[in-house]
Amino acid sequence: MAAMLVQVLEKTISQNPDDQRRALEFLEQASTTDFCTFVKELSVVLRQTELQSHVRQAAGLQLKNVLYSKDETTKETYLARWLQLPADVRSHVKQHVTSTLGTESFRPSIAAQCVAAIACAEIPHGLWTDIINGLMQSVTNTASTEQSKEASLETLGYICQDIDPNVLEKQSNDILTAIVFGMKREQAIAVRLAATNALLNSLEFTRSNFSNEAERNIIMQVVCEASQCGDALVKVAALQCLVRIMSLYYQFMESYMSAALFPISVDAMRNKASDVALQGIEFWSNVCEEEINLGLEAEEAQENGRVPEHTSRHYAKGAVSHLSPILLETMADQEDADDDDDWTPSKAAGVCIMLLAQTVGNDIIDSVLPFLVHFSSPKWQYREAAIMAFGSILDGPDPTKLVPLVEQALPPLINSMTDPNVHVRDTAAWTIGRMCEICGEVVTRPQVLTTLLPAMSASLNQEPRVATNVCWAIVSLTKAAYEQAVALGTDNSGQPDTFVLSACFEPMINELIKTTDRADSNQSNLRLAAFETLMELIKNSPKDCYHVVQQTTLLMLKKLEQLLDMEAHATSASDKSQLMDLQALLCATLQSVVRKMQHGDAPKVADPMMNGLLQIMDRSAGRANNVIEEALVAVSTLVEALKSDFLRYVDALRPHLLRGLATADDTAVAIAAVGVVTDLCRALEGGVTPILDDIMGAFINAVQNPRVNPEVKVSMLGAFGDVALAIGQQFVRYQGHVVDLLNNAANAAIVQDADNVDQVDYVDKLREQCINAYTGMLQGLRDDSDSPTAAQNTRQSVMPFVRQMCDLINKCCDSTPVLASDSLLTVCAGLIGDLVNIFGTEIIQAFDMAKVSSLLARGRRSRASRIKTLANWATKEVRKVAPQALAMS
Amino acid sequence: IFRMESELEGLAASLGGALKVDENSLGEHPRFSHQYKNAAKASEQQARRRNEALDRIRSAREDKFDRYRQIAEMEDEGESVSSEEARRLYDGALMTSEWLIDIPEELTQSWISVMIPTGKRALVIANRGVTKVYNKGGRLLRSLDSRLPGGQKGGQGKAKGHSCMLDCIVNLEKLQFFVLDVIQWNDMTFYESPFDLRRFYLNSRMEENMQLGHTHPKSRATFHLLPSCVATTEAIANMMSTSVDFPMDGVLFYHPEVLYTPGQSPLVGWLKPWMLPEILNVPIPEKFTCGAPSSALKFIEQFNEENNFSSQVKKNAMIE
Repeated sequence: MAAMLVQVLEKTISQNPDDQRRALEFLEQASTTDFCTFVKELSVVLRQTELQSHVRQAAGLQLKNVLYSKDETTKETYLARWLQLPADVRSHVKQHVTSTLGTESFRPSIAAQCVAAIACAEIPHGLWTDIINGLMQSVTNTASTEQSKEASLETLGYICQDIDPNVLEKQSNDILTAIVFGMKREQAIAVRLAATNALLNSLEFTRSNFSNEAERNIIMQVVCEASQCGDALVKVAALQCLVRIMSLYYQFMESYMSAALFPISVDAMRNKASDVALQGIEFWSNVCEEEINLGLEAEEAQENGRVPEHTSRHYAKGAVSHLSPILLETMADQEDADDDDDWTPSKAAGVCIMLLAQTVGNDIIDSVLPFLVHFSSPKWQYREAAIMAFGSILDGPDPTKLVPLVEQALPPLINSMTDPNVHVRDTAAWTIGRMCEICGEVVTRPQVLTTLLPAMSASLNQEPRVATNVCWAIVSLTKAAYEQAVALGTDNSGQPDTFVLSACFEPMINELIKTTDRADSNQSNLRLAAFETLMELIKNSPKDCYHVVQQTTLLMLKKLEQLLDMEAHATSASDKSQLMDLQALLCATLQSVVRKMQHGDAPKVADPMMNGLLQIMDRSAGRANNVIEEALVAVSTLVEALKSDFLRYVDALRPHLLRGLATADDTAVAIAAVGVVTDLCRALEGGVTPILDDIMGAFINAVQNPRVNPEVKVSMLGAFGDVALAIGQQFVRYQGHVVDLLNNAANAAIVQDADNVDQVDYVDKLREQCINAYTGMLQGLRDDSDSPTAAQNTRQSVMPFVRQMCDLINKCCDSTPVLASDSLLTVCAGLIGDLVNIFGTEIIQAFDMAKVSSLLARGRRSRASRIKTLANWATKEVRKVAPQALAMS
Repeated sequence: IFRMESELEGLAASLGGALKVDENSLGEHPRFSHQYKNAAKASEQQARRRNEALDRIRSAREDKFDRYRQIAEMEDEGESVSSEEARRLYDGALMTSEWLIDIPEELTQSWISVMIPTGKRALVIANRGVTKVYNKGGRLLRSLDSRLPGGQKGGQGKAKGHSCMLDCIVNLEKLQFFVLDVIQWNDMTFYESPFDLRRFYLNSRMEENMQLGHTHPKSRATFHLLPSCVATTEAIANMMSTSVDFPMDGVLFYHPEVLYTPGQSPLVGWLKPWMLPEILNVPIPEKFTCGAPSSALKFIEQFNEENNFSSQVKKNAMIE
């Protein structure tokens, strides 16, 4: 096979696509017919130094590809297939790949990737435990060649990157020994680079080494040394290490800060090479984020009367006056040709100033104020930087300090909206938006508005990037105006009668609609921003602007009709996709107007709106696009507005709703469809009955379909409760089936790894929705009549699934392996209260009272009022019937 | 050699995606897409909209669940309630009426009619030393001191177990509260009690606490009972002719056994004074008839249409 394999491998990189295809097919077949021989032979080819490099490389690549895949499930089957190989085959391969390390003449080493892939497969299963030590030896062994050291360190880097950190913690000493050895000054540059990159990947699980002062000193020394290396790659990698060390081990950095970290980072910030400067800036952005979090932790601790676990050393406060001048100059160091999406030191410095302001508050003002003279600089770079700096420091200092500054800066800023340079105008628009967001009190003053509004209106016609920023500024301005009006008092509708923008509200809406029609609005997200702004304006409009809401509704309906016509005639795929995007935005806008609609108006637009939505759903069926999602959400809002009057559309909606529920590959569509069901249940109650068999069938199919996203299934479980609540006793016909599903779901969802945040979150959400389903069923079956046997009737109806409910509650109350989330706790307390209320003392013995008590106690201590309220109520219900049951908590 | 190089390039390309590389070197820098200027704005805005839609569904579900749970008791524990929470707890918590059109037969024998002044319908909750006034939608209208149990700072006001929840009509300018119904008084809740019992209890408490009817240096709020009678023709006519010192809005009719159920109840009826002769054949003083529409039924029909209002009884009939 070997000779043939070499030939085939050569062909895998052939320029001739047919040859390549045949070669890959051959390999595919070889791997399935005799996997053992296949992998063994590949490792032999890889090992043979006399073969041509590209053949060896291709062999290595094939070998790695049978072990590694980006797709998690494929990867798992690969790993299982590997582990099933006989031990001698595996050790044959391992022996060949390890001895290949250091024999390759090409970079990056493919053998290193193969060794790492095998190590990541085996180490978590307790196999090949000596590989780490072996790699360490080959780095530190004086007889090792430079190539061998480099490849071994690279291997360690790959392993550290891909493996679960817990698995390697015990071997962190070996890993660090190799890395520190490789990073030393006397080593070759390639070795130092591989070692520094490996360090970057190993920092996560070397906490024990960092906690030890002597070891920490050594690590910090080699990293700091490497940051001074003449080779740019090593320097950047070392600086990256410092950035990560700062966030992982902030608490240990005190003794290095002033002597080493400060000068190194400042020096890097000043470096002419972008890569280096970016890391210097990133270091301080990271320090700021760390200290902002520590500040929050301290606040929280203070509120709870605790001493915070970690404290801020306020490095940012100490450094701000030194850092600001460098950052501000860096901000001004920019080219006209800078690509908008490039991450440059200039942009990074702007973000860093913003984070500094959030961290040090008032202290930022003195360092930045002098730079603001550049508002009128002849160089656009300085004008832009000064405006950017001003916008960046608005969030952080006390409003009292900011207000006079903002008042002073507004006129020149408004002037800057007509600056000849587009970068300056773009940033000026952004900065005005920040002012509107943060200093609403100033920008909504009538005398300010008389100059601000015309400037905004004019800028809306500028380049798309400028106009987009103006849109977001309008959003903030409108919100500020609306909140002010609400604060002055409203009637029971919650809406103010008028606000400061009422007089110009209609023109604003009209200009935004014009903006959505701009031919270039597909650039810089302008169309999206304009539509979103339109929606926010509608949402935040007072009563005296209601006629504009009505007009906008009619206009949107007309546009929808036009679009549907246009779509019918559109031929090119890109035209079609643009039209679909527009339809989605129109649906979203319709949601916002319907939500604002006064009683009596919704029925008037219901016919054309449903007609349009149904057509959209008809045409878009089966296409991957968010149109259907937005259309379904629009249906939901209409259901809410029309209440029982929606009944007449149910038949027409039915096929679309069912299609939405059966959508397996688009989570958002399925979830929106579930939302429609929930709203229908609430609005129509018994009226929903005729389509329920279909809906319940769709739910049950989806919940059992492995292709359906778990998030969808979870939302469907919760919706069972809404159905039950809507139809009460009639739910009995579905009850058996639903209880089985809930039971299976709750039993299957178990937290296996308490550190796996996604898993914990999923199990919590699933349980929460199961409890919601049971709560709906239980409340739907309640006999609320005055009949003397009402209580007995309720008990009897609920009886068939009482045990399941109690089992689930006991499971949720269990504090191991993890505590229930707040929202799970809340629904749990509710159901406990309901059950005790119905069954009285006899239910108490079905509960694991010690756990239930401690869950309720946790709820009572909560600061969130709904949790507290329900936990208190449930506790009271329990206390009424079984005061002693709570004694142990 | 040339061929070899191009092959190596191809290989390098296929190796490119080999093991993971530093994310920061791929695509946009996370600080760019999350923190730089408005780069993240569009997606944030869309995410916010999506979450709002989901929140609306979630809180509607919570509201529905909580209707069956006794919120008065939940309040009693003395937890302060945020305004948003209040909106959810108290929106629709008051028991409201329907037009009294289909006259129940037992009306004249047992229903109770209550004179209603003009004003805002309010849920008044006194608790932990403060009295809060919410409108029908659960929006806080006013927060004040009152001499209701638990309604005043200091004294026994803050003590545990002192609290009170009333269904009132309020004149916000004069801070006059006309009590329609009692939902909770100290440690007793009345959701499960019939209206006649609640009325009796309310009368006794108001008589015991005469000071509630008068202002006080610390509190301008006053609480009053409203004239009521059993709904016979004579009794209503009699009641309507008594002089009262408030502007009259209408008459509520309660079924004597109606429990306190949040939301519109078919067992509570409502008529404007000028409708009494046409609907119930009750004679009324002239001051109520001047300027009134000619037909009560037509008026009601038109009103229902304009306000998108429908009877619970009719709704149920339609569904069945």
